[in-house]
Amino acid sequence: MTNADGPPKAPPTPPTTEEKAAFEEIEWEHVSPADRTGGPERTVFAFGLVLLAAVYLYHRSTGELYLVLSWAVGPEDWLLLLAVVVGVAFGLVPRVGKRGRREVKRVAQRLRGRWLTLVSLGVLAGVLAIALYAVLSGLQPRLTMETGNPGPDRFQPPVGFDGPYMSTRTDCVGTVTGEAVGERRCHGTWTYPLGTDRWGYKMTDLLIIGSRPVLYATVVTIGVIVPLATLVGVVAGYYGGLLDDLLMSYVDVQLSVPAIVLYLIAYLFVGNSMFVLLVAFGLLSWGGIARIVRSETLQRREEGYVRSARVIGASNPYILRRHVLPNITNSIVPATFHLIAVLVLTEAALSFLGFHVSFQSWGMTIAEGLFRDHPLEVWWNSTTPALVLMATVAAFKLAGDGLRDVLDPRGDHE
Amino acid sequence: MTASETYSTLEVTMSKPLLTVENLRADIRMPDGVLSAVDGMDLTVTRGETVCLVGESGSGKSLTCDSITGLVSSRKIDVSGSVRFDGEALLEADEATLRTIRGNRIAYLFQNSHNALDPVYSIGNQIVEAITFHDDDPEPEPREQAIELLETVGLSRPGERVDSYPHELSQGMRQRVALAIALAADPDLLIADEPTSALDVTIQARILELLEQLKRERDLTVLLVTHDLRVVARLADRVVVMYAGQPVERGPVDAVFETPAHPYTQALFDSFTGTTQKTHEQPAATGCRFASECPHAVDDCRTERPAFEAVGTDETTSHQAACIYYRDGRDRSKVLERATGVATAADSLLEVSDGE
Repeated sequence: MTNADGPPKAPPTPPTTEEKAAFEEIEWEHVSPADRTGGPERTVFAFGLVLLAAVYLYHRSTGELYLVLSWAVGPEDWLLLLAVVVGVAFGLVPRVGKRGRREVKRVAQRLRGRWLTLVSLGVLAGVLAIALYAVLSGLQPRLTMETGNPGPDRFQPPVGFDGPYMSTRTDCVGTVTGEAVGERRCHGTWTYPLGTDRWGYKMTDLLIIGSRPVLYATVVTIGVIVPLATLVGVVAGYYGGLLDDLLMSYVDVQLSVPAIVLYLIAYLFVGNSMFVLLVAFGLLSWGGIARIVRSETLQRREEGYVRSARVIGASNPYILRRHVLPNITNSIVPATFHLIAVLVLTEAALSFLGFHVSFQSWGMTIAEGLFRDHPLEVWWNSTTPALVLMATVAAFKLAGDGLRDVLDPRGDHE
Repeated sequence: MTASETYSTLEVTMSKPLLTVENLRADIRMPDGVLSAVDGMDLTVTRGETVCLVGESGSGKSLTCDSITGLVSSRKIDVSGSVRFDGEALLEADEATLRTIRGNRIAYLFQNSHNALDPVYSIGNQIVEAITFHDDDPEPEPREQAIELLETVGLSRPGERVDSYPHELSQGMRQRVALAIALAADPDLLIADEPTSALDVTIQARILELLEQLKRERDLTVLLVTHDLRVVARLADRVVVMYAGQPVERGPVDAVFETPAHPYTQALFDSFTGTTQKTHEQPAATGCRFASECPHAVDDCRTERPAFEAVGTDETTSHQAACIYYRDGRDRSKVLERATGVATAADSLLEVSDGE
């Protein structure tokens, strides 16, 4: 059409094309046959599984307590490692290629200016980093003996606040104000920035160690629970028929099993176990996500581009991977974040009630601070973990909602 | 249009049909019985010609196309009959064979341009996908081919647009891209399912122009589904009119437009010119499905299903209607008398719309 305008107009067009191609890095890459059958993700996944099995057997044979550093591994840690393998294979590997990097860049661009989402993601990254540190270092709460007082320094108030001297007595590290014995106040010091609890444990230690369940909940949800839910939902929604009926009836049955009863029964036999909690609540709670995925898949299945892909000769697994999954990601992500938040809260609630998991958690610390006489006099024992818990859960919710908008393929929202 | 010429060239090549559909049925299993949504469809498409499938919504046009390409996804629909594409029986073919044929030889252009493209990928990426499915070792570079295809379908600045995402394009552009994807595999047969009905009028005209041009330049064989008679008039070589899942009239486009022979075709032309309003009743299970609405219906119409009969007195023409009035020994004048009036009215309207 432009040729009709004559030769003068024709030359400028081709250079523009080349310039464009040269300057902009585009996800240009033809769909190789390997890409159609699964590609590097599966290789990495298989390799990771073999590696994990080897590490497990090696660890069992040596009888060591620690896997690396001071990481004492329990059953929940193997679940965590399995989740990491899945996450790396299907989450990280696809982002390595040119197309993946461009995708990441696109998401990053869309994130710009969404400060609420960014802050939430920052909070989560912080909490997870701290939890990872706690896991790897095997950190245990330490009794505060450094100050030379006889016995641990109990009930020290946080910096900038004061607490009843009656609780600390001679242990008080900071200055003491007030005349009458009953009205004396002990002031916080930088020795214990967040204060100490009734046993004389540092609150900072308790908060750091208490973040461990968040790491387990996050990684296992992303690496095991959600992939499982997605697989079931996509297969049920796309193939339909008997398969759909069977899978969805299974989900119905599973949703009707009360996880809490299962956990409490298991608690009687197994005792404290994060693994049991993850299995009981995690593996029984993916039905909701599977349903969301299924209904989204049902819609996508009839979209023109899925039909078009079938017409150009694409196989079903290829269509699911390339066309259906990317288009439902923005529904899966908020559901995932919601599920993590629920798991974190469930764990905290159970610990609060005394059904502890394998290790210290925020819920347990809150309970320690509350279940005593005059809990409000030493409010920091229960309030700080409660605030941290609240901030984490809120960050999960906000990040999930923010990412949904960012990942929405249909809108630019700009 | 030089239809008589087209027609005569058709007769020459008629010997080698690309697509033959015989007695195609698509039965939908419902809670209260079986609905024959496509009932005894016969269709032949010869290389290089454009066949239009015309009928109102729900007459089974799209289901016919889906059945031909094995795209019927519902398990509640049973497809039977015979579909031969260049000698290959499609209904009996396994999924792998079907996939090869679809990717390389049959392309499908869908009705909705707004979801024909995957929002996650750039349009270039999607065209390349189609190219690489067709050809494992594409030459020249698939990107170059994609740009070329975009130029073919008349997208301006294809070198830049190739990296756009679907939501950055207008409706008309998206339909052009969808067409580019359909053409990527250099198909022998293009099935276009109402390619213009979701577009606004000016864009419709441009897409039609483009299809006409592609037909000329690429010698495309097209099976076009539409309910828009203007589209038929512009693009078709031959027409098959469908009513309630059954073909009721077929023939060269000029013959059908000159003499709409079946009472339903006449009614369709009437509705196009806006002269009649009809209420819909459930079509009869036996006999002619149009009988309950047909102004000429007699008792026989309700008891036996009419076969195709030649409309003209000349037995060699391929203009046929499935109506008992065209049986030997029947007086067809009563039905035909209306055809002229309807055709004239439709003609005048078509001329107006052609001029825009």
